[in-house]
Amino acid sequence: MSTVIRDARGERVDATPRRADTSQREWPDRHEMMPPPVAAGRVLRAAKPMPAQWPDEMPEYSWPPLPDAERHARAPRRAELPANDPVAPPVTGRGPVRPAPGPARRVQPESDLLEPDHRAEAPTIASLEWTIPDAAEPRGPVNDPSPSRLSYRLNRLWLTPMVRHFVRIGLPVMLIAAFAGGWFSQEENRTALVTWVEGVKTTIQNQPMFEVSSMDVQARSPEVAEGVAQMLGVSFPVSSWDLDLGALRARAEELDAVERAWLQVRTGGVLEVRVTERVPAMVWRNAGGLDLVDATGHRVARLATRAARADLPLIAGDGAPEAIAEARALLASAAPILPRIRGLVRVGNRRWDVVLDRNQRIQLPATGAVPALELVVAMTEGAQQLLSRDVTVVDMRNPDRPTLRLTEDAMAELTRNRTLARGAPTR
Amino acid sequence: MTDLYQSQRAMRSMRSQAMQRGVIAVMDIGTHKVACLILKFGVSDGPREGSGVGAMAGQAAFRVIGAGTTCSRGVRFGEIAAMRETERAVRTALQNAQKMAQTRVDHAILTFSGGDLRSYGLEGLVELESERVSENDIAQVLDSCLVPDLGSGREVLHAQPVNFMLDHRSGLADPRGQAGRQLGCDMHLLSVDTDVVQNLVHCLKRCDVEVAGLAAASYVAGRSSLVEDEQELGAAAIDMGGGTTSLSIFIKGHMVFSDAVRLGGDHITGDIAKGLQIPYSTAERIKTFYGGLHATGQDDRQRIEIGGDSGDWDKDRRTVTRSELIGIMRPRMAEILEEVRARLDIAGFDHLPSQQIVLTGGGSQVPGLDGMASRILGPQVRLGRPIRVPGLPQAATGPEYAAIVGLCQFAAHPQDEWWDFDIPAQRFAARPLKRAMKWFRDNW
Repeated sequence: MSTVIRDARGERVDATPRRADTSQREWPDRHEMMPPPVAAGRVLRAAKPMPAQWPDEMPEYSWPPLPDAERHARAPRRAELPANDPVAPPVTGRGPVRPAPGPARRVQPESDLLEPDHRAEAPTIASLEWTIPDAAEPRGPVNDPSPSRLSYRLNRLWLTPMVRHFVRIGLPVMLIAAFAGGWFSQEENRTALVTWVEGVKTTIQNQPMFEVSSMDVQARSPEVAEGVAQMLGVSFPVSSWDLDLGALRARAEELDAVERAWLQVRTGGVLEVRVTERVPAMVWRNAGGLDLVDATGHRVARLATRAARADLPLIAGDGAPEAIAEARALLASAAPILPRIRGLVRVGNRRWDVVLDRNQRIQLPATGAVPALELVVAMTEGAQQLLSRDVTVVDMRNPDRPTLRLTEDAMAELTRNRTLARGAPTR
Repeated sequence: MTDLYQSQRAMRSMRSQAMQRGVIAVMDIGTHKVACLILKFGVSDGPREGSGVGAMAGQAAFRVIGAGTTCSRGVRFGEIAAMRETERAVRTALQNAQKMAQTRVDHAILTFSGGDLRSYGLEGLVELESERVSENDIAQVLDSCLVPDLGSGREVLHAQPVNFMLDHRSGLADPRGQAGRQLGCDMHLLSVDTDVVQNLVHCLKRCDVEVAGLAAASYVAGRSSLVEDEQELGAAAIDMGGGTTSLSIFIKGHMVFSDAVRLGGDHITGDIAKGLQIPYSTAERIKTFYGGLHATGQDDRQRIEIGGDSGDWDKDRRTVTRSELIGIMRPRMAEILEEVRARLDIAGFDHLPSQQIVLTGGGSQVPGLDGMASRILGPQVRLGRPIRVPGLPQAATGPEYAAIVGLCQFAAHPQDEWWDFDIPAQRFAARPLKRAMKWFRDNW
């Protein structure tokens, strides 16, 4: 139960007497251990109530006098009363208003000592309104803390792990998938997306920082550099995204003269190509003419005349470049007769012939060619002076049985000598 | 009897199933409060070997992951008086516990203190077939116990073998594998009113929860509040609840007697409410904050504002001294304790070697109870609190939670009961068809 005190204008007046707040006292007490006082069963320390604080003790007049605004607020005029406000009978006279029971008995008293004339025209009116809010509030059922059957069951359902996971993960995923699937099922949406992606891609690729505007080919010979540049056939400017360096490199290496190419897009939009050229090791005479081949037997370039690269040894015959390693070994072992060697001929893509000047020819076996040639060289270098003699062909095809073919004159001479030696008549 | 055997076995298998799934609820439906704890099993393997911590009676096997307590409604004397109201209270407690645990539970173990517990001691004796005691012999000796007439509408709640005798030797805990000729056993049987149990089971079923076990509150409160040596040497646990005060006597680790007095803390509150003309809730509050049993001079000076909601200024500002309050509480508490004393005398508690009495339950928190109880019950009285179990909220560690904490132990580490043993084989022999069916069920 509480009392609402309103002043004449219907505004609430704080009428609760202020006491020392016992509920806020420090606990435990210094003197005895008491549980903190609580509202329902509050312990009173003294038999008589605590002496009231200043609102009750305040004199009816105050000093210094209240400011005008405050004074008028506390002494409202009757004219301002709301029409339908229930008004208690006006309380006049000196002294504070004392409502009979209840704790709320503080009403701002009028101060006739200070303002006698003012009091005469606007006597203070205190309206006391006794309401019992507890009774006025609807007394429904006590707030039931228990969940209803439905909410209990829903709660249990929600706490079921499968349901929980489904709602928290499965359902959003399915929803997103459904929306995405519905959108993508439209043909124009798909094309629009592809177009948009392509547009964005083009825009990004055509940014100036990706532009390649020139090519720098570094090769030993300018012919090769020019050839490589032509071979690559890149038209500038071009975006570096459109350059397939691997393909370009393969294309550059298609050129016979190029052993290896190394490509890089340098800063400043330069496509740098560094070329390692093949080094010609021999001249290969074939049906089409003269070709330069490198140490691995790969064709390097066409040669116009043999004299242009007289420093390189000559090989001939089908399949000669494939056996170039053997050819090099043969040349190395034939060093003493090197000035006489005109070239090497691959016979039947199987074995080598060494062709010397004076139409001499050394026929070597398919296997074990180098020892056979070394044997011939030894016979030449030794006392026999084999190749200085009138021999056309030294046939080493069977290394166990070297055979010589002599010139006709030499043959005749040999026959004559043998006949003379035998004493037989010459024909 | 066989129905009960089957239903108890079904409950036990349900319990083991729930424990394999990992989560089970334990519920205490009391007169004053309904409490629910949710246990999670298999959280740890227990203390490390050599860590100096023992097996802790299986407590390490579980952890409390949810707790909910609510004011009980519709329960009087530990029995359901208004089913809908009780169902609401159970729902509240269950839902709070489930929210805290973030999981749902489908099985609950239940404890209650009503139902007019009656305790019987049974004896059985059989000749052994072989020279050593086998499982089958145990089943036979349990089966041979003569069951008294429990009365109509009553059922067995607990039937625990307490003691085994082999020839002239008694006090055997586990006679299996021992040589002998005659095997005897003592069994403690606790019977309860069937309807009370049926009501509780139905109430939980209405909350979509299956009952996976039942235990008497006096038994589980004794298990949690008596320490191990008290259980071994002999002690009585007195669980002072709201509507009933139940007592159980333990010796050699087993409960040998249990009974309940249909008086409790709510009666004290009722006395205060009637005596001081105040609402019941205020009386409860005043009892809880200022109650006592032993008045001193200080209490005469201490005034308690008892309030009121009448609107009458004088009535709403009444005060009483604490002495007056004590004067109201004391005779009722004395009456309760004297009733308990009478039950203990009937049980022959005087003849036990150790006469330790442990007071637990919410009613045991009244200041001065230990002094009063030692005058009425005997000199060796202490106030007991339940043991600590892992994960239990601080708010649920007081003596009013002795029963539910004991129920956690009961779930994790149950003592042997009669229905844990198989029906002896010769009973099956009489029903070969049923036996064949069982074989098919077991093997297919």
